[in-house]
Amino acid sequence: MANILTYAEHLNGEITDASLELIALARRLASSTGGNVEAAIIGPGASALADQLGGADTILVGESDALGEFNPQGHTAVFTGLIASRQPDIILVPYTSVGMDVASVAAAASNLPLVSYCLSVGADGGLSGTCQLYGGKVEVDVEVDGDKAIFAMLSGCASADEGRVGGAGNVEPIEVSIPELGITFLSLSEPEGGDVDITAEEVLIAIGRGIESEDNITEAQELADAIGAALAASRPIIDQGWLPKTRQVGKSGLSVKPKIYLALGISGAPEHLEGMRDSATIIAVNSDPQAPIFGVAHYGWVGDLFDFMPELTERIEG
Amino acid sequence: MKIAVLMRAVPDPVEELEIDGEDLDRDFLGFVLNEFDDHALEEAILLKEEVGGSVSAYAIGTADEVEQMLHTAIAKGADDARMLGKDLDALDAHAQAEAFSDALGGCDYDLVLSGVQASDELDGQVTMLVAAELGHLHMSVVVSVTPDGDGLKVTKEYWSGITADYRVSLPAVLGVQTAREAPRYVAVARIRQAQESGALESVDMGQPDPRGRIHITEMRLPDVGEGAEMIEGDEEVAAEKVYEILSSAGVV
Amino acid sequence: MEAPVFFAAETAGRETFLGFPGWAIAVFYAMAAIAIGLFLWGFYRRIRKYSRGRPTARLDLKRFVRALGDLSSNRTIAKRMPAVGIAHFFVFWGFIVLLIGTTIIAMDEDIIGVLLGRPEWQFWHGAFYVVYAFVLDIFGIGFIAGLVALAVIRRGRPARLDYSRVDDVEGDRSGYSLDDKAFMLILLGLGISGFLLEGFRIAATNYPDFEVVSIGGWVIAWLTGPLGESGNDIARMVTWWVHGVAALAFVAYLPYSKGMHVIDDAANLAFTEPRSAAVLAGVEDPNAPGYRSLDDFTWKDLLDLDACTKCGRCHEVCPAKLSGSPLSPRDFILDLREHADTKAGIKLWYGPGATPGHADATEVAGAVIAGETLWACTTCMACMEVCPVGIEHIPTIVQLRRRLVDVGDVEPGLQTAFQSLARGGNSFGKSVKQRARWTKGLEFKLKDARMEPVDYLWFVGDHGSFDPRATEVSQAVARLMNQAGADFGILYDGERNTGNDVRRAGEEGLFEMLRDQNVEALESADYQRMFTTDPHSLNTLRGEYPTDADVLHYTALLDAFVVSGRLNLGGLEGKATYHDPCYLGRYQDEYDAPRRLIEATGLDVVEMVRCRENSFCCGAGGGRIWMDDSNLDERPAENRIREAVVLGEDVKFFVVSCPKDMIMYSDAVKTTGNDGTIEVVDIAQLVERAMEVVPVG
Repeated sequence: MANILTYAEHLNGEITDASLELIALARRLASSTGGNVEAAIIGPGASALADQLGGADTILVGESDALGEFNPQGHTAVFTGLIASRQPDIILVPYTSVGMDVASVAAAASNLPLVSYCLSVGADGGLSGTCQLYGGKVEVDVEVDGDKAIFAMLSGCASADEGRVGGAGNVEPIEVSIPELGITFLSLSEPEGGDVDITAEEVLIAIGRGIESEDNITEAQELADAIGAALAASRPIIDQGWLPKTRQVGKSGLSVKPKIYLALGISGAPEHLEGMRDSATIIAVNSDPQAPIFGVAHYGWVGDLFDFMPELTERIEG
Repeated sequence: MKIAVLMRAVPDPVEELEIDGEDLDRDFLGFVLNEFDDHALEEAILLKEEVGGSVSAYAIGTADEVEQMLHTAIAKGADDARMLGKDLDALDAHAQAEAFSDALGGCDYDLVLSGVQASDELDGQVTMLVAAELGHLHMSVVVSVTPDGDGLKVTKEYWSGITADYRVSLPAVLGVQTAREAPRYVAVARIRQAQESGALESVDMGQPDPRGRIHITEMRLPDVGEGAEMIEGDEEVAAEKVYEILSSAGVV
Repeated sequence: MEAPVFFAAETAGRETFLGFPGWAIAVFYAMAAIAIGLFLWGFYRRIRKYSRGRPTARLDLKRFVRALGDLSSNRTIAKRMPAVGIAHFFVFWGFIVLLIGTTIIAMDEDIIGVLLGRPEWQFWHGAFYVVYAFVLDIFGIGFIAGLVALAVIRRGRPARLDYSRVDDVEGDRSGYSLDDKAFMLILLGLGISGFLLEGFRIAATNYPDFEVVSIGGWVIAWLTGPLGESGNDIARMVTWWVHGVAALAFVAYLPYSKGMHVIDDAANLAFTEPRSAAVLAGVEDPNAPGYRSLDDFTWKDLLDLDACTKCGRCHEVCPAKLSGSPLSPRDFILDLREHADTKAGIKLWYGPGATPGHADATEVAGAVIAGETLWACTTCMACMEVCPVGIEHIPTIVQLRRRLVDVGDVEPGLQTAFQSLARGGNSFGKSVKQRARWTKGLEFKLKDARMEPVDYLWFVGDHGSFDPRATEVSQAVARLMNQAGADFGILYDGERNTGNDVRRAGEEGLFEMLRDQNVEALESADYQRMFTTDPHSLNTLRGEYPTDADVLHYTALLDAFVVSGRLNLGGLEGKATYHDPCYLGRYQDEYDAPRRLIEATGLDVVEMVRCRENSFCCGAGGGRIWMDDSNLDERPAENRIREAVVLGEDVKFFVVSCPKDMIMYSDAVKTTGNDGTIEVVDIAQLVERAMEVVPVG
């Protein structure tokens, strides 16, 4: 029997899909091992969001205004406290910007092993997992030494919808003792609108490192124009400033689910896949036959995107 | 401000990876500086240029390329660099964190910067584990660090383009996603000068034991194309096929 | 038998200061002294400016002899512009002869007559005078005719003489035009006034019969006869002073104006090294690579800056300028000149000269000359090839780029290329191991020259190893060499980019690293000669690597095989045009072997207007292929393809012999919409096709 504790992250009054995936995963583990599922939600507005976590048996609510939207120091301290007091066997944390701040420090403070980049968890006679390394190019199966561990899960490890059960969970407020804070939350910024909303587009042409230089983007734009699609990009393109932040798809960008997602020169690192794996049809073009994108794509072509783009543009323009 | 930068060598992303047992075949594998660590170094040097102080680079000698990485750091503006150990096998994240914090301990750094993540961190984030070992404040996915009185103003990136600003006291350990500016270029000639300057210190360190308490039972290349229908042929064939897909989706 | 006598030659001669009172002569000499003083002072300031430059070894007899030939024939000016060349030839020799003429008078009159007080040694009379008068008149007429011809050509406002800047720096260049006009007018004025003076004198001295040899003057004297003796004498005296003062003014103003080119250009031609772009100088102090300030320029660099006469030929041929980037070789030189003059405190007669904002700058790279300007150069050498006065633009540009690299002012695309080259010895982001992957497309195995001895070591080059369009050519070359029964091999993963473009992009440290790596591989290999499919590699292997072995371009080798019968070609029909690669043509003087090969296949070669030494760059050199070209109006390669298409529908092939050309022109054919009109094909590919067509036996 294994008891599971999940971390529920929230921002701006919304619980993330990643957190709901953890609930779904926890539920499956609980049903196969016969344990119970507790979900922890910490911070301001936690109580109001608690009923979205009904998939858990118990929802531990740590309401506190002192921490701001999210405070690495504060939230981690509270969560570590919960691990100590609730003594779960399996702890699930989303491998996101929030989860990253919590997982390693909580693991160290609780003296527990931590399995990162995790895709799936096994609790059948010992704890195990399957993880992705090296930008998704390699998969590993691991076993944990010991009977308790923290797992930092990649998004897509379970179905958020499955975790989206409302109402039944037992809400338990918890004492939140905040340490003297050296980190103070100041403000939240959201990106300016005005530009294209890629989450609303039917067709996205996404470019990655393979585009090589800023001036090649015009060819991609031509293709996008020919189809009536919008351009999106993976993080490296945005970091270079070649396209605005509003076009970024991925872990730290936007999540999209268009009808068609045409990925050109994108290798398919997990951080990017998170943002687009639910697209209806994914077509990938990459010169590297080992590119992980081919693992999630529905169609793939190994070749030079600079040959492909004008060819397709021409075919569409007739 | 006294800043330490932790730098890691990871397999070059352009390399085709091969498996040897439960690990990568490292015989002919090329290693490069973890790109996030490059950003951490840039952020450190920008801070030094702003408020003065010093930047020290640290790396564990797990690849031939590590010395060059540290010389490059010196050429870019680090005041000194230390390589921990030499010709070591790869360390897990916990072992790295312990090695780094032992080396850092006693030097009283105000700020420790490193890349938010590396592609081989199976048992945790080295940066955050170092924070835990040192008992310092921590934050990762940092996209901007600026001085703010006797502390720092730090911007953290969430998702969907959302960011948040924080005030962070020192000492702290930060995991950098991107620096405020793109990592600077440094001419090969200057790297050579750094080699000759002797600012690189080699610190003796034996091969640490694994400390992650998880072990790999199997490593494999995932079946790519599993699920993807691969189009065979040249770009004309590919364009034709994609056009078909687009028209049956009603998009063109 | 006595020669026929036209006139009493013994009495031939004239009085220099005829009719002038002593005080007037004194005034003249005083003015002369001032004029000469001003001249010497200006001349001295110039020489001092050059003397502050770094030393460099350029004293060489062969250079002097060549320069003498250049100067006496004016061939560098006549190159591709015969009309200008001939006109300038007359102006040049006219000026020299007239100058000698004046010197003779000074020698005879002032030195021998006055200073030494030996009238019996004076020689400027008699038969000597008659010959003198004739020669000077002929050359004087030529002088004026040449000037008029040049004025007419300039009047046509050729594009190269448009002084508008190509970047968005504000600057008033009306001073240049003023200087041009003044120079032309003063010379014409001197010429015309000289003849008028002669005419008035002849008429005023009652037509001495020996003066019939002064043709010009004689005709004018005939025309002014009606003024009468005294009328002509007054006219003579007035014109004498006009001419004299003008001449002195010319002497005085010469070092402060365009006139200085007379001395600077002769000197520059005597010291210029046409190969300085092919074989670049290394970095002396690794702590301070490249040129930071004017103090780092050599005296030859400083002389280059003054030698420019704004002829605009480099401006006209530069592919960067033509594609709309902010680089004009002419403006590069002129901006630096103005900066140097400002620093040296030299003021030109027509204005301050310095471009606003640069007057106080010490940093040249990035300040006086914008980084964007420096990075725009493709190092094609068209500027140096066409420059009639031997200016060496490219080595200075590279020195300034070295400075930009040192301070990290390197655009992202170039950074990525440098980093990839440092890691894997190639600019494609591939690992070292993958270098010989292209050989997998061959049906036979290429020898590894490091493992077994070979006759020919083939240095394949970066693009020929990794770019799919160029690897096709590499494979064709491999098959041809195999067919010809040649014993050849490659270095496999021992080969790195030779560093030609890396060096020219200013990353000298990286160049040295690549060179050392290659030399190590070469030293472990056993071969007799080398050949390469890449002209850039050819240039660097030949001139910048410490190798003694012969390095050939593959076209020379294939040509030899065809000539010796090892390869039999023929049967192709139609027309082709050949593009001379910059680094094979201008850099290495090889133009004919490729043409012979094309003809041997059966095709007829139709030349583009800009061919051979005047070939037009594809735009990829100097590291440009790694840089962003989105700001260009028209890519050089596109301009070139349009030039080829104009040759006619029946010219079906655009033949190249360089991998970068293959890549740039293949793209340009598509982007100019000429896919199907003209085909870009490498010589090796043509040769292969021609071999298939040859009937057996």
